[in-house]
Amino acid sequence: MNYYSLILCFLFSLFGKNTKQFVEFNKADVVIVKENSYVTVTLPFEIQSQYHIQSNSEASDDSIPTEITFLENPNYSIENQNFSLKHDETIRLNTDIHKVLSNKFEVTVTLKLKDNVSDFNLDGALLYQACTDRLCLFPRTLNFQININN
Amino acid sequence: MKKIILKLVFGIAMINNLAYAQNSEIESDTEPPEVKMFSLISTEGDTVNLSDYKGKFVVIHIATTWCPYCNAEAPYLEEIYKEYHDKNVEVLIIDVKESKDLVQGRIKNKFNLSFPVLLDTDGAVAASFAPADVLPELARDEIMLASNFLIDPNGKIQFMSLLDTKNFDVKLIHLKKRLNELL
Repeated sequence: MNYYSLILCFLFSLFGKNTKQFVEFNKADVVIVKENSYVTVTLPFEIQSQYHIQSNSEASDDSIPTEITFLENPNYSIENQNFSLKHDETIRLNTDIHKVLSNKFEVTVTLKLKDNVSDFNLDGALLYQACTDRLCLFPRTLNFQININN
Repeated sequence: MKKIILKLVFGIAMINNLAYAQNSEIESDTEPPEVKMFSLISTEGDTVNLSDYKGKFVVIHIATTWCPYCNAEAPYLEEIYKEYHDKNVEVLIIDVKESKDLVQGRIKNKFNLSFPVLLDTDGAVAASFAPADVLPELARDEIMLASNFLIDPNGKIQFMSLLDTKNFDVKLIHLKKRLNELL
């Protein structure tokens, strides 16, 4: 996450609490797999129909890439995180190719647990900037929390 | 009475155009709406009053640094400025809710723009262009991003376009066509 995105994420988390969201976090479909001291969590997100959000990778310099961040927690460290099951779309802007996401995507995060941890929360925030075919909207931050227990 | 009805019909048509049409040109037999005057600070620190442009054609583009469509249009706005400036045409970009340094670097300097880029720091001017009852669930200042306006020398809005990514008019062909008709 670059400096520019960090500032944006901070500002929109401060002022964007009551703004309409265009991405939904499907808490009921979260998948948690535990193996020894590692926990792999798959977080499903759904982008509202007719909207697209900027790609998490291959985003142009002119756009705000979709980013996920997790709150630091003394119970675990984040070992790995990646976007998967993405539905990529390509939009051509003059001569430039512009990558966006639509429909659904998942974020998989691997946590390494500290000793004797049995019940804790995973808190995160998804920063995204949505557009339709006729409209581009200010960036939003979608905060989410899940509970993980043994 | 006939004039009032005509104005009402035109007003409703304008609202529909703002919401759903890529390009809106004002028919010659109807009265174009008047632009709301504004005063904003440019990235150079100058106060720019729209009223100072009375007697000139003014192209206005509403933008942000992170809007890919706005950025794609920026070089073509510069092209319009260079091609039409000696024909009594001015160009302004209104950036919505971003800092001077960011806008200076990511718009004004990046695209080497010869015309002023204005800072609508609270989004009030962008909001003033938005019809109150279109997309009421959204903030007024965000529904006009990436839109273009052509104001005539009498302060009347002669053309407006909203973003249409499926038929993206990056080269501003429709705006130039309208400009050529009016000049």
